[in-house]
This record gives sequence, C-alpha cells and structure tokens, in this order.
Amino acid sequence: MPDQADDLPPPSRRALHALAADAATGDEPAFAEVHRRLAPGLRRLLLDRARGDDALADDLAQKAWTGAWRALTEGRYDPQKAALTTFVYAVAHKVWLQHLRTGGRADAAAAAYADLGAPGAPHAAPDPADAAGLAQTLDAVRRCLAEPDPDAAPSAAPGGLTQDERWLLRAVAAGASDRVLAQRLAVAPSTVNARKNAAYDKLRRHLAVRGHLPDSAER
Amino acid sequence: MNDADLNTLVRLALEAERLEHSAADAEGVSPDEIDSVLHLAGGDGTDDDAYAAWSSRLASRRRWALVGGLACAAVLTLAGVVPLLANRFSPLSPAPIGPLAIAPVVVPHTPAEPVHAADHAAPRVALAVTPDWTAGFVNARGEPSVVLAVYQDDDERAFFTDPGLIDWNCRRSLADVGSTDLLHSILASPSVTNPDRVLVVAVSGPADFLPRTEHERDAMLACLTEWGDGEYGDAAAEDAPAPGRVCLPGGLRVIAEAMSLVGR
Repeated sequence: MPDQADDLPPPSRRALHALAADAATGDEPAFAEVHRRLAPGLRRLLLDRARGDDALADDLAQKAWTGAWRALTEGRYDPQKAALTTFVYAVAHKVWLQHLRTGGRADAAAAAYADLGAPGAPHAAPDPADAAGLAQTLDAVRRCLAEPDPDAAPSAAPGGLTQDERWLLRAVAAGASDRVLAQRLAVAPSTVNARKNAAYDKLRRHLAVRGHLPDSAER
Repeated sequence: MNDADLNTLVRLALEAERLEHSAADAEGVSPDEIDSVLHLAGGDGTDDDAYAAWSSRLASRRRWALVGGLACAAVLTLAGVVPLLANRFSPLSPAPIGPLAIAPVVVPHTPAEPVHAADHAAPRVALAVTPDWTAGFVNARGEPSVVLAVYQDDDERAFFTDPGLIDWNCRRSLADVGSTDLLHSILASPSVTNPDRVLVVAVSGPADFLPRTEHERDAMLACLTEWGDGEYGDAAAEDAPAPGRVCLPGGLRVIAEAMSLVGR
C-alpha cells in the first residue's frame, strides 16, 4: 500500500524484528539493513571459529547470510519464538557445523559443537536454513542467563536461577576451572561442583519443560 | 542432556548475546533498545555485562591466564605521560617504549582519583566512540592490537580517539597509525587541550582476547586501571571486582607509545 509505505521510516531506523518481517516477504533493502547491522559481529565470530582465516570466514559468512535469507523467505523463522540475532547466529553455527563435517573433521570438532539444536537427530547433517530449533533453544538459555526484571518477583526469573548461579554458568562457559571458582567464591571445590550441578539441573528442567531437550535427557 | 552439552549451549547462547551487543554498538543503542524478542536487562555498558561478553570468548581456552611482568598497570595507575623528546615537530617520538618494559615516569597522581574512564566528567574528556569501532590493527611487532586509551600530557585522564577516523582493519602498525591517522584524530578531538605530548596505550596479543567492542574495551581499561594485570588476591574485599575476573587473559600484553604531535 503506497500510502502506508510512505509512512514507514527508512530501513536504517527500523527495529530488527520489523526488518525481518519485511525481509520474509522478499524485501531486499530490509534484509540489506539486517545484514548491515549484524554482519560485522557475525564475521568476527566466524573469524574466531576459523582461527583468523579471513577467506574461510568470508566464505562462511556468505553461506550464513544466504541461509538466513532462504530461511526468512521460506517462512522458517518465527520472530515470536526467537530473536533475529539469535536466529542469524544459529544459522551461522549450522554453516560452521556443515563446514566441519564436509572438511572431514566430523568426529573431533563436531563433538565440541554438537548439533544441540536438533533434538532426536543430534548427528543429522545440518541445514543452515533449518536453524529455528537451535535459535529457540539458545533464546531459552539466554532468558535463564539474563538478569531478571527488577520489578518482577524473584521467583519469576526464567529457570529460577539465582544471580550466583547465572554468574557461575557464565564463568564455567568462559573456561573457569573449579579451582579458580572455588577461590573466588571462597568455598571448597566440591561446593563449586555442587552449585554447578544445581545450576545445570535448573537449566535442564527449564529447557525440558519447554521441549528444547532431546528425548534421552541424561547427565 | 549432560552437563557438558548444557555448557556448550551456554557458550553458544553467550556468543549470540555478544552478536546482539555488537549490533547494538553498531547502532549506538543499548541492547535493550534493539527490539529483539528477548528483553534482556543489562547490556548498558556496565563492566559486568561487558566482561560477560568478553569472557564468553574465552570458552575455547581451558584456563585463566595471568599476564605478569607488565609495567603498564603501573603506568596507568600512575597516570603518567612519558615526556617526549624535544622536537615537537617530529611526527613521532623515537623508539616506542616497548611492550614489556615501560619505564614509568612518576607524574603527580592522586591515588584517591584513579584514572578511570567512567570517572570522567569534565567536558574536556572525549569519551565518544563511533559505533563502528572494531579491533584490529597490527603493532610494530606484527601483533594484533587495540588502542585502549590516549593520555594527554598534563592531564592524567584518558580520552579516546575517534576510531571512526581510523581504518582499524588496515593492519598497520601502531607507529604508522600514530604518524598519520591517530594523530589527526587526536587533534580533531575536542577534548585535546595539549596535543604536544600524548601517551597511547594499547593491548596486543592473541586476537581471541582482544576487546572487540566499546564495552569490552572500557571494561578492560577500567579493570587494568583499578586492579592491575594480576589476579586479585582478596575476593572478599568490598570493592573487589566480580569474582574470577582477570584484566589481561590469554597472553595479552599492554604496550605504550609516547607520541609527539605535529604542532597545530
């Protein structure tokens, strides 16, 4: 509708979810704006994975954006279920897994980056455009790790993790050893281990309730 | 799903979070404003949020690294500016101070007023950083580097150049950057009141650990300024930083280079 289109702000001033909605209809300028905002950060992430190989990072980025475009225009992305940035990230992660598998590094490297977003088919060949499941899982994890709304009741925090537990999960993901964590928390390493287990249990329950875990959940 | 898989999910989620933060940086807004489905609190540039984003990039490593033997922390806490050689019209000072042995020059510094970017309130201090800031230039030793701060001579406070004026991806040495673009950007900064003598402080090392957003850089500089380059000894201290924080992980080193600006 020309009149409504004339009232829309330019792509550079629109929110990501609005741009995604337009891109899903084949609006290339909207997708270009999404690309403009996310491409630098995404490339840095891929450059990390590629251990500084610029050419590889560029190739992976190109595949990721192609996959993202395909996913948007094929209706594989639901903005109500995952943030666009998380979805684009998930697509890029799938591209990375595909690269590992086709490069003959399926066993070792893939074990480090298991296709965790495909419950029930953990070792299926990843289609980059089919990243909705992983994106939703990652957003569920992000909700658990995010600081809760200060106006909300403490019990309303997603996953019910305490501030210490959120910090603990972040620190462990960053590579902190139990020894370092014990020193910082001024507790015994065994206590750190117990607190980690408790935090993971909460996260696991939160994901399971929302259907993000494979059928064979295990510790 | 076992704990290891959950840990992997957390790592991936934190990477996605970092991507969101970088998009927010690019737009000059806080992540809360980029209208994602998630309305995450934080991400407003606080040290803890920046550190969380930064620390998530350490996931590929399996140890916290301590970087010792650097004098830069002393330089920062002293807020010293190395006096430059006489010729104020030389585009550069002679040999850089060096990455490991910075000879601190004692400059009057009030311990009660630590050099801390967040403490700056005077309008003369330029803290504006363009949203397109990215890490990535190569210092004279061929290492990827990022400028943390630029100190004026008679002002112990730090100000940041406008990195939008500098193509950080050109992979030039700090010396090259300093001789042209960095100097020009310093001169262009409204906060420069004494452009004759400046000290450029940068961090070099594995690209994985270099700060890559404004938030991460601010967090690193604030951390170094407050806590130096070692691990913290007293986690119970009232003003201790978040547990487990180290300022310079992964083999990063701080380098500093005194620069003489062309007279203006």
